[in-house]
Amino acid sequence: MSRRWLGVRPWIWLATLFVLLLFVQQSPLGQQIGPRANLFFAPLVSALQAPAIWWQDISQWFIGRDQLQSEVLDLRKRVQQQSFVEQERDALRAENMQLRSLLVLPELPDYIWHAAKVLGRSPDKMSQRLMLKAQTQIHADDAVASSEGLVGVVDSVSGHLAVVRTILDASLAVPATQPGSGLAVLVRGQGERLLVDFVPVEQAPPVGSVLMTSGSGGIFPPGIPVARIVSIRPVAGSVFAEVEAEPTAHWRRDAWLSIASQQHP
Amino acid sequence: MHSPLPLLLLALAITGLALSLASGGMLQPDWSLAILLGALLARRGTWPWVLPALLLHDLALYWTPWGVFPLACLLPILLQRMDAQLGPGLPQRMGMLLLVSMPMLFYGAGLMQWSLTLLLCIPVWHSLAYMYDRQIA
Repeated sequence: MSRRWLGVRPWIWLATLFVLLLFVQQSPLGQQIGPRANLFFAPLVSALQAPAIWWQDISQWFIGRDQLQSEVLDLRKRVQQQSFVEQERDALRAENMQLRSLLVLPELPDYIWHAAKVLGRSPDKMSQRLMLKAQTQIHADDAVASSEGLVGVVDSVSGHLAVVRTILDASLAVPATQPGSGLAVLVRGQGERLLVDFVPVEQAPPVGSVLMTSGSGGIFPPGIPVARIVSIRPVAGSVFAEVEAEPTAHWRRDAWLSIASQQHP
Repeated sequence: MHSPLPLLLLALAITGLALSLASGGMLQPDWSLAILLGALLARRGTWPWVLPALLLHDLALYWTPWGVFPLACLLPILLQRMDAQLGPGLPQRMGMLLLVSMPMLFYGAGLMQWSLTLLLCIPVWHSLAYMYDRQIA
């Protein structure tokens, strides 16, 4: 690098570049550059994972007949049990509708759940961002959950590929509550932990209790576990306590996640 | 005569970036960062293709250009100044490698991942310096 580049000192070029980057990052377009860069790499990520998937597919061929038969019997049994559960669920749903109409409560929008494969994760310790691939159409702002709880929200979509911001991302706040209480709190990402805002000191739930999504705001379906409380510290002169929590979901080891798409009328 | 080395290194860096995204939960070095920093330290004249690649690296992995890229931009200028004042040497390059890779820790990489990246970068840097020397000779 010469002392001058195109007649201008290098530090002036650098300062101009940094100002330009700052300007671009603050713009709405700049906010989308990161997720778009991830989506750009999705086909290559998929290609790198292909050998492992082929190996898995080939090994499936060699699974013993007995094992498959026992799995089929087990699945049939589960389907039977599931049908009983579904019947009970339908009865409860009808009862719920009736009670809602009696209480004149607004009906919560329905969600369709579908499975999505985890294609990639950000390399930080907690995998704050994920890349998903689904067979069905995904939309931005769809909620993502695992069997253990809420994982995050779809940030951007390209076809059947999606980039997900997990609840540890500082830009995300999830309205939550504790079942059976009038608590209405916000769970915010803090990188490796969660912070729970607006917890009155007197109403603070005990350490170890689980907060669920409240459904306020309309993005997250209600009743999904979000966070387990880790510590509660009263703050001098404040009505609210400083509450730390950890996610109930452990998405770092999940190969499949579930996406909740809102059913639009 | 144009060398195919930059293209090969860029292809390796992009593959490394996809590998980091594909297996983000695993303990592994930051492959692309190690290759790109190795190339920049081996010859500071590689900055015209290394710096844009580092910007892409930061955008894909950290979703912001304020990761390794700003410090890497200073690297060619600082190297030139230090080489002129102190004479070309390893200590200042090692110091700069540590400095430039430091933002990794801020963006969630553990100490182990940082160490692995440095351990990969040093042999890459050594091999590339050797290859560039042979090209000149």
